[in-house]
Amino acid sequence: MNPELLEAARALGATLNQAKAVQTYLQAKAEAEASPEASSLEIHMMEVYQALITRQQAGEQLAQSEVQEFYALRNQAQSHPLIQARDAALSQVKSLFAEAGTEITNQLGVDFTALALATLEE
Amino acid sequence: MSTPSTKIDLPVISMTGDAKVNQAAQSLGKLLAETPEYQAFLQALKDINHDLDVQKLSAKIREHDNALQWGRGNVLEHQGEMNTLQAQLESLPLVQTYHTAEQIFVRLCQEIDRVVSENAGVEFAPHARKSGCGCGG
Repeated sequence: MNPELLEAARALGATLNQAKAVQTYLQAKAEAEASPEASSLEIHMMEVYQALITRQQAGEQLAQSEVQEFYALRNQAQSHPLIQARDAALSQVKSLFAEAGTEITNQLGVDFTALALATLEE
Repeated sequence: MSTPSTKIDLPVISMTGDAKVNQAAQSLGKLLAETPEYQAFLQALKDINHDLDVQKLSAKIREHDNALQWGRGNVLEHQGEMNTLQAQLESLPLVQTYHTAEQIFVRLCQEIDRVVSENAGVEFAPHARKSGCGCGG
């Protein structure tokens, strides 16, 4: 990558990092991770989710009660104040990042984000 | 005759966070558009869009696709024809050149995304992706 381009990429990253939305999100994320209650709730939810998905992908028909239990667990996690605050902050980050992505795309005429996320054939 | 200069005290307008971000993103986009990787990708894209063989094969593929969408004819026959036409399309030198140029440019975009993400402290592209559901999530 040419040095000018590298510097422009670093500058965008640093500017995003300084944006209020990103700072709020990083703070909220750290607080959620530091809370044993919030983090254990999320870890447990992910464990249950993974176990259900693995069984479903193996062809097993999941019981409705198991699925309902998972939804209840997810609601419990999503309504935890620290997780809620983090998720709300993340949605602000997404708006900001989407706007930045659109600015790059407008200069190119092709979707920068889609290209950056494209899977390459080796 | 020179006019006397009048000093106007303009208020200091500080750029909002978003304006700074947009400006930085715009600068990055402009520089990216000047790279040989992007220029080669753009040229290859123009070449395939203007090529008659590509246009003919693409039109035939679309015909079979439309027939499938509207439930006309034999599904397997349409799919078989589409696979054959797609293989013919992919074997054209211009299309291969396009794929190579695209891969090179994609690698550059991914490298840029990595640098932006590292400096932002949050992954950039996955969070910049617009939701396809229109729900704003």
